[in-house]
Amino acid sequence: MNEERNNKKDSFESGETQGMDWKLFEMAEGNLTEAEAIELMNAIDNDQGLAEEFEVMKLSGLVPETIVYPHKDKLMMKETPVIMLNWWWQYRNLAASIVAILLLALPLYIFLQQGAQPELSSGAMVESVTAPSADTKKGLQESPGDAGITNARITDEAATINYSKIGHTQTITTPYHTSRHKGLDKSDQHIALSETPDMVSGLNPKSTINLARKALNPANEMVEVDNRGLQRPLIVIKNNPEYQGIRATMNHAMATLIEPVRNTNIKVRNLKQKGDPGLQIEVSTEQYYAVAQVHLLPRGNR
Amino acid sequence: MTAEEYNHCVTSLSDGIYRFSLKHLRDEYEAENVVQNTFEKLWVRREKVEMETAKSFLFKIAYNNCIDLLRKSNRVGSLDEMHEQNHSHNRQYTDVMEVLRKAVDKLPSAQKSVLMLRDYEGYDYRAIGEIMDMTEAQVKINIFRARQFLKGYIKNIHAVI
Repeated sequence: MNEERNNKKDSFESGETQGMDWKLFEMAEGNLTEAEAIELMNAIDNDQGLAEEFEVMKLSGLVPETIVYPHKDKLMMKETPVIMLNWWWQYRNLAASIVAILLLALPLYIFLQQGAQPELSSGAMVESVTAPSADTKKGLQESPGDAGITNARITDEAATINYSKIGHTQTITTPYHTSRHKGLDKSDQHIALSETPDMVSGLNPKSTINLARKALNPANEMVEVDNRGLQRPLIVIKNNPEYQGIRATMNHAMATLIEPVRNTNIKVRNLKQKGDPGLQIEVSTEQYYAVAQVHLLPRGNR
Repeated sequence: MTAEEYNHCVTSLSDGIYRFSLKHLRDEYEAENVVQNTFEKLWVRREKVEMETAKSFLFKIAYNNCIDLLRKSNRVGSLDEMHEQNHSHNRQYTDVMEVLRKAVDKLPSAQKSVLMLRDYEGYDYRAIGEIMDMTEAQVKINIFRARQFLKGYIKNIHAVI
């Protein structure tokens, strides 16, 4: 519609401007053919008024003026690495996530590698740990069981642990590794641990002692051990978890990792008034409860 | 378009854009702003603008900027106003070029633009039409009218002198 109107307008205007002025204009613009130009030049030569019109028409052509823009330097540009910076900036979340995953995964990997075979340092095993006495147990929880002192002797290949209950004695050998340590003779190393399931159940049916050692089964899975010795996976791993983005994955992983130690409370009590100087350490979370007692014994009393 | 090509455009075309804007706006400050805005838009869209079409792109942006500024300040004169002004010229003009410059200032924006693009920049009708969104016939008519006006203006001045 607009085009048709423009064509009509153009044709009207072209018709309106027909005549000698239009021919002079076409001549000045250089739009005439050679024959038309010669014919018009002859007409101009024979007509003084037409010659003057043509001269004025030629004067109407604009001559370019030299005008300089004074601020060219401000318009100049240089290539800058803005695009690269933007690229990195766009992926900063991904980079930060990768770093966070590595920071979280590395300690977990080291922990899993050491797994169920914690290395006992010779220098760290000079203290003795005893199970709570009957009096102490009453302070914690009434229990039908009776706990005895478990003694362990560390060799190069394994640790032999002897523990006793009332009317029952059993020896178990655990594949503990030991490491050589300067300044101590392994034959002098004796440890006393209170960590058997029976003893634990005797203290508190819902608690374990020294759970870190029990936390991993031979398949390197983090498990929870109940008072009957049954294990259930602590971290349930879905075979085909639905991926919902890195943020959801990270949140889920963090929540799963932190679940066993959520709402941790640590209480340290002085046991000096009960005989040998010592400490009782209680660690409780939403899922676990652990008690450890440390008694300082003079070497001469062993 | 690379930064080097852009800088080449600044070197070779900024004067023409500035002259074009200055003739339209008759204000150095506004004309400088138009030049800055025009080249800023070229830099932003340099990935899409080829070097061969950069000149047309720049003049089109500059023309639209000038029209916007003139509309805001109500300085877009009509053809009738122009004819009325035709008879109120200053009698002190003696130099033809000066007369011509004053006459160009009195032209409507469209005629002034096509005439400057034709005479200053050497564009053909098709290129001028692309810059100003006109058909070639419209461009030709506008140039004809502008030249007729200038011719009449010059003749009147000479007659007065």
